[in-house]
Amino acid sequence: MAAIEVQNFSYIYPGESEAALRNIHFEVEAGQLFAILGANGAGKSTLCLALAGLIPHLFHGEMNGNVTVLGMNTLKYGPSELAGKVGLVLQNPANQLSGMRYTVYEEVAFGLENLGVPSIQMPERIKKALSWVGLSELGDRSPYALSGGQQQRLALASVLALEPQVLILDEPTAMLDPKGSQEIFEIIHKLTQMGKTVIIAEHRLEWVACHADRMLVLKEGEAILQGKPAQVMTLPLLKEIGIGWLRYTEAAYLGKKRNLWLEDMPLPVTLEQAVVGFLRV
Amino acid sequence: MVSHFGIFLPGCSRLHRLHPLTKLTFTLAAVIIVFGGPGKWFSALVPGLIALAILASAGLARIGLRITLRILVPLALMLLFVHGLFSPVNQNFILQLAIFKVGREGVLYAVLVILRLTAALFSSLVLVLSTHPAHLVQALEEAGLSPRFAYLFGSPLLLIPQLSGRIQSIRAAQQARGLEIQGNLLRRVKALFPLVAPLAFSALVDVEERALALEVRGFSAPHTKTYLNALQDSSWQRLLRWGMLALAVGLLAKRFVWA
Amino acid sequence: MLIKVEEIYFHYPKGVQALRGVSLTIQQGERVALIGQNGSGKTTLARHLNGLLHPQRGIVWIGDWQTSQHTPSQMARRVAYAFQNPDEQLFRFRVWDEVAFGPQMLGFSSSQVQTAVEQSLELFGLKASAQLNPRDLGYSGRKRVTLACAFAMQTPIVVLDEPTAGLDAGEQARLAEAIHFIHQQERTVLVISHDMDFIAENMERVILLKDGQVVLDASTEVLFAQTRILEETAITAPQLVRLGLRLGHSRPALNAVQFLDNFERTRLNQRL
Repeated sequence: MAAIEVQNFSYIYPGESEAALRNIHFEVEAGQLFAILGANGAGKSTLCLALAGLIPHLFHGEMNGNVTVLGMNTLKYGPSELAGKVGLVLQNPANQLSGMRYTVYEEVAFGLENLGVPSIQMPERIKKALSWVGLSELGDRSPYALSGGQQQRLALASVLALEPQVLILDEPTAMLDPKGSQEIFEIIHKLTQMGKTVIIAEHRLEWVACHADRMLVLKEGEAILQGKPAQVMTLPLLKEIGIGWLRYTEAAYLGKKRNLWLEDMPLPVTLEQAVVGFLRV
Repeated sequence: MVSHFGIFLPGCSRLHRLHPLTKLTFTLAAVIIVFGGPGKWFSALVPGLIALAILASAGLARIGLRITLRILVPLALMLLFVHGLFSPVNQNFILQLAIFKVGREGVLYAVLVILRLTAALFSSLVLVLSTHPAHLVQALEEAGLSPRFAYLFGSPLLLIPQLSGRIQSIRAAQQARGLEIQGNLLRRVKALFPLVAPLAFSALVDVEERALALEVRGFSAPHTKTYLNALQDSSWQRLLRWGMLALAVGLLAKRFVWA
Repeated sequence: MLIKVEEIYFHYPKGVQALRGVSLTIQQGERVALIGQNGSGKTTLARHLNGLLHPQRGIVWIGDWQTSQHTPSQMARRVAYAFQNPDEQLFRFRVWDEVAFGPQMLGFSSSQVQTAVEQSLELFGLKASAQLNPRDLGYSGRKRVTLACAFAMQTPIVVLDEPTAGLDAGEQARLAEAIHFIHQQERTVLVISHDMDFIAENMERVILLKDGQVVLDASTEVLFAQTRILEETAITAPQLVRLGLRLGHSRPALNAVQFLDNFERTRLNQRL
């Protein structure tokens, strides 16, 4: 059974006439890194919210179809039930802080307290989560005294402490500088190596092209493409719908016309593939 | 002076270690007595002095006085002005300033109000300066208050430190668009909306996003909450809480029932 | 209108020395990028250009005005500044009115306001949303509104703080066109950004800051050829520059066409 199954899922926000998502249908196998691509407004965030059960439980619009995560159908199970199994990390680091905890350490404890984890188990789980994100040294710091990148890592740690099997990240690096983004990407890579299933909505194509196992492309609420990065990210359609291509891909594509890229060589989506490809010419 | 958590100042005094509900009860009881107790002057002075003494025992007296002065001095001046000059119960006049006559009754009334507000403020500071908002919320939840309601209680304190940074940014952004914020009164009033509206809007956006993040961490989960740190309570504190409430209610009764 | 920064020193009230002897000159019509790690001083420097901050030592000239002798709202006549967070400035109920605010504050006549706003809306693809409430737009929509606000002020100098953050590829392309458009109007554009690919393709000159000092101030091509300095300042070069390096190209390519030209040239040289 797949870790995530989305079947003919449609959703209209309350008060809207146009559906935000229409007939979305895909599966994610356990342990995969699955990317969601799309122009702004295509529905990436909506899909992330639906995978975490926030739609339909917190957002009451009109939902059709099924979203099943780890065997739990989100029509029946909301974020409260999914909390120890599915984690969600959003764009804005500061808005994910509870605002009620004096130290990084206590902040991570917040979710554990909500779920009624016995207090003797807490210190170990907190220490583990902090070490996964590299914040072990900052346990006594105030969450508000951290940089944006550190706060985002704290948000991740807070969610990881609940030991979810599935992690959903909605543009987690959008507000971070390159250093902060790199830190987040490294943690995500570690998590997939640990066997967690990760769904990530992203604009930063370079990392996603290297690490995603499969991806979904959204256009105006519809899923128009699915497949491996090498297949999906070389389609001209991506340029037309606002997602764009990596510069390597563009260079190889233009190179074909100037006999600077071999006809039968697939277009590159990573630096390595581009290097190899151009060296062959 | 403003830490990352509003005005809570961490410390190791006896006061800091008291259970939040004890301190909350003190504040409530004190305020009830200040405004509803018998013997106007007595009820205004005594709880205030007690609160000040408590603050002093925790090393918080100076900060407490500073905050109180900052808030109350302008208010006090205004009250003295308004009541001194214009109170309808003025009969005996003690001072003459140009064409205005300052009445004794009005001044006394203003002084009473100021004393009451001071006492109420000191009593509130006993709670607010020495209690971490999260511990207050935890105490309320343990006492049976729903987590949602308890969070609402603690969340205004959350907003304070973020506010001042944001106000600065908004001022900078709007000035950079040509908004004149200095000058005559009319100009300043016109500048208010472009300065305040983004504050409200961005606060709203933040609240919405935070609600999602909290949900995902089980905020609405029906589990009984556990706590990383246990709050220390004791039987004598429980006794003290009931005692303070009883005293407040008793004094209230003395004033209104036995008058 | 010349921008001249003369040996400025600035520290924040809390004592952090943010700028230590920065000097630079920017001619009218240049497209300049300010890059550096967070904390390098790039935002602090940018805020000196419209008078939001005044140096403790040194002078900032915008044309014939010294910034320390003018309020930020006066400086807004010459320097428009688009901040990173759109939610810290949106306050009107229609996109059209929001974009009109800057021009109105600068005293444009109503027909001038009209022209400026329509042109700006067009540049950023906001014509269809002109009557909507800015709050109903998604984050990138709100961001584009604030960019449109800055452009509509028709100032000789425009400063954009992280304009590409949160924008998808299509929206970034539009921003690039808008920058090109005002460049053709001979207006100066200064962009603070971490997006090296965008900078390589759209900016002519790059100023790299570290610890409050200018480490490098050069044309885009020259700057991205300085591999060692980029490494030391933890700047990741644009994709095609990195690709060129791996293939042994002698010059960095700023776009795909240049890359292929370099590639051809290198191959020719190898054959000879």
